[in-house]
Amino acid sequence: MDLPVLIAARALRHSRDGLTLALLISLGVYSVLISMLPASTKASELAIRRFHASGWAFASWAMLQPLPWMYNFENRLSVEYERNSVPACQPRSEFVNHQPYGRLFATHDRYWYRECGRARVRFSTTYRGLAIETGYLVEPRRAGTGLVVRRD
Amino acid sequence: MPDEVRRAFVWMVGSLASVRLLLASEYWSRTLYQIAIPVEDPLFPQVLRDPLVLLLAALGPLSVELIGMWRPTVSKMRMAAAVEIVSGAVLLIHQASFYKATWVVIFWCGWFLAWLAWTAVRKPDLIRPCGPLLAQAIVAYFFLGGAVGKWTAGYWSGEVFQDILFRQHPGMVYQYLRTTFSESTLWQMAVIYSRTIVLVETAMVGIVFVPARVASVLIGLVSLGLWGSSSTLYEIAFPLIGLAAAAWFLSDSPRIG
Repeated sequence: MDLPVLIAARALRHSRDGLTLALLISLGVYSVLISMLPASTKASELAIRRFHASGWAFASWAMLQPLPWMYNFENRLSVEYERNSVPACQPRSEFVNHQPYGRLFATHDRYWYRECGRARVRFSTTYRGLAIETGYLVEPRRAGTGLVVRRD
Repeated sequence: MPDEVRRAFVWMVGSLASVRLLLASEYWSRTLYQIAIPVEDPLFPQVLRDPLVLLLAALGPLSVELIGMWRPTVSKMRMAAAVEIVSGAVLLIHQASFYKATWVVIFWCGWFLAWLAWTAVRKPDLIRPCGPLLAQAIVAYFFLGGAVGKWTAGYWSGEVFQDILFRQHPGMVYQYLRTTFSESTLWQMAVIYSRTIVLVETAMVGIVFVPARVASVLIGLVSLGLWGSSSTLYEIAFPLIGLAAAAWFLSDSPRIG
């Protein structure tokens, strides 16, 4: 029995199709990038910093969003609020599944950042011996509603 | 249009529409929070913090999906594919949704719909050899991304899933487990669960090498297992089931040439 990929290759030789080739090549390129993670410390470092939105311009960060990153790396989130006398505003530390930068914007988190005043948020991500930490400050806007996030 | 292409399209779009319907109230809520508590941050440009952009990208495609499923035509299929790709792309880079893996899955399913709407319609000789392979390749790709990030001591020891699921997850199943079993038993469950996930996801990378119908059944079973492990994972499981169904139908296409 022939492998599906060989059957497809033979068919594409007879009847070339740009979209099929483009999709398979794109999947292949992104797959190579994923496969570099366990093999290259530099690739791991870049990927973790991408999860922290640290050192990445928006355009290049966005180009890699179609890469599947479900439950990737060991990501720890630590939050310390300014108003920590309030029971709901106690410091906390927990694992998050992926994209820890998203925990600055999730609805539940936004609510508590606003209620508990200024917050110091730290992402600590480890992957196969590599550990990277990034800190952010979440503060109420000086004028108007909402919050401002900046690097700590 | 060949029947198998129509069936594959309906199942695929149906799976995406069901995800959007189930996410509707959540994305309405996200939009309201985006309005009530806007966040200015160093990464996202203003347009990708906009609440209306979020709402349109998340829920706008529903109408196209539902219309497309009803007596699909080639033009409806192409419209649906384009809308899914754009919606997935926007939500992958919007401040309020970028961290949801749902949109990675929907983005690539949109491209699969594009393949159905253009290639499968114009080149029926490629349906059987390439259609199921493309669906399987997309599934293998998702699992490759998921598996590689879990090849760590923390996932193998169960520590990460113990915290994320067995200690924190608000779902009914995990609440029941927390109230019923001791901490040491929960740890043992977390180890078994975590290792199973790592091994299954790693094995699923090989789905691209498996004959289409066998692959279809395996993808379906693993997807149901994913959904069973956490009810909120319908966002990933349903589109995977759509891809599995598409692979099944397309593998039945007549051989041409």
